[in-house]
Amino acid sequence: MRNYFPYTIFPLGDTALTVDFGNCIDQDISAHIMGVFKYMQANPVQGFIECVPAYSSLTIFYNPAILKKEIRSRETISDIAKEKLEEILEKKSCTLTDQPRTVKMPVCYDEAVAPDLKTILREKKITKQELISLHSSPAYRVYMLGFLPGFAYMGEINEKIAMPRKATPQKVQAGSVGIAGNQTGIYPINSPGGWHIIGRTPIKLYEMKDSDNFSTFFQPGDIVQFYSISRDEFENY
Amino acid sequence: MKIIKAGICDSIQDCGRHGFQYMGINPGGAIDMFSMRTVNLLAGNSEYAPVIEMSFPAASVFFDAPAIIAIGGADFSATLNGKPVPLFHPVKTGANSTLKFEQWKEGRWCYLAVNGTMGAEKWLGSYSTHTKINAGGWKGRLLKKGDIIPFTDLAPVQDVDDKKQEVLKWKAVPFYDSAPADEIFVLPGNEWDYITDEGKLIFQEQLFSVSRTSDRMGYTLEGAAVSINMPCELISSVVDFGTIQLLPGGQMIVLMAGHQTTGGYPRIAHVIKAHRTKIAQLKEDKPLRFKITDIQTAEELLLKQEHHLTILKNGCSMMWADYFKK
Repeated sequence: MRNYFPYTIFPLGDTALTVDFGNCIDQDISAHIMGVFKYMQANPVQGFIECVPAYSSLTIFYNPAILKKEIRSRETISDIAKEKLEEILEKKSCTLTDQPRTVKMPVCYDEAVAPDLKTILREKKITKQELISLHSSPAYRVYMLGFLPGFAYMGEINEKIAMPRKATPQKVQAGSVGIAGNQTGIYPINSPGGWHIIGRTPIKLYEMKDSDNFSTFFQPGDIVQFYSISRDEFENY
Repeated sequence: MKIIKAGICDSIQDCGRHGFQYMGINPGGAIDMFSMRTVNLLAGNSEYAPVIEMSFPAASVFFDAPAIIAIGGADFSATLNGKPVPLFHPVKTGANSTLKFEQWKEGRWCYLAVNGTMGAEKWLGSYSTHTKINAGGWKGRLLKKGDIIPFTDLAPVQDVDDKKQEVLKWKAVPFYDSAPADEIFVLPGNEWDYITDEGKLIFQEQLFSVSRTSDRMGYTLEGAAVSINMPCELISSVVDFGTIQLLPGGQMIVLMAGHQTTGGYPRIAHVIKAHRTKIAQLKEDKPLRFKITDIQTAEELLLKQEHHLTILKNGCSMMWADYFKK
């Protein structure tokens, strides 16, 4: 695996910086980003509030009132934050070596829980069996969590079933499996959403143990294998 | 404290929960953090204590026990026991007092701080209400008629009768910066150069107004469309409070306190942090103008605003120390 990826850093307003590794979906870049993220979680920097990984970028939020104390000469606080961030990005120890975890995910592709299934079959001129096979045979990688608590962005789906986002978001039930562009994802909670819904999983995607502990079913880097279950199996899961 | 009439969008908020965006949990928190911190200090609380955030029509609130409160932010013509109460003053309220918000005058979000410890639910380090996952604040939802929010460690309140109030003489002065009231300072976003030259002029010269459908998640702007050089689909990445996203039709959305953690629309600009309070309070009747600034100016304004709050904090702790000595 390459251990060097070119990047640019741009300010996300006046209290955050984004490290951009290029507008692309790439497993190696994603693994590198998670490496940097885990390094930063384990080695917190004074003045940095939080670090948030995405597909091909990583954003850090900082507290200007704290970083201000380190200003020398004519620098801005944003410059200080950037220097600190670059220092971390140059470290070799950031590269992730963890083996990805593989998770199996049951999905019921029944029309009753898949409001957009018919539209896709009609538009793509494929049978339901073909759709199930096209969606559930590849192993997907979880690239990032975002949008809603525990929502995992996974890629990349077969071009034959790629659908654009809906023009207007609609109500989506918790557990709904959606597709948008070359991505697939599952809604952890009821929410408005713009992805086409092709199935639903009975698995709960997050756990609230108590007021201090929250865990998500998926982690970035996970390899996900969907498998089809019947309506009956779904109802009695 | 009892909610005797529900408002349309009232919730418990504080400075938000930080450190969980990597799981998709947005920070939330008060949409006008400056007003929230100010009312807390005036009421003798820690500046980041939970408060009640209200929009209009706002809730009516009944206080069974005497309390020290402060109201600030938007002006909804607040009355206590039928008498008008000024914004940004500490107020002593007697037992069995009723706080009402009679009429919308100005602004969008009004804050109520009550001296003491609010018996709300803390989730992942914050009392802010996360309505999507139903956690934090008051049962993870908006406040409803009949909710009784308990307070402990209430400050002793003397010399005020039942159903009476006393407005204390000191107050917080507003924070002014050199910018005109309708001017919102922004920093260019990473996709600023995707906009056409004409679009850049429109963005900087035209007036925009915050639409009626705006909420805690985002403010949709009404006004001329800003056009883009080429259609672009970005891979989702992180967004922030103040990020201005450009929708495919040329309409802009300013992301607010309840924004999602990530987004894929071009980020054409970012409202500077010191002007979040200003844009948060804009209603559809107050048009705004964007002015591009630089990072130096943005940081200076933010530090000035923080300094203003530090002075207020020191002043309030002196006044309260003095008050309780008597």
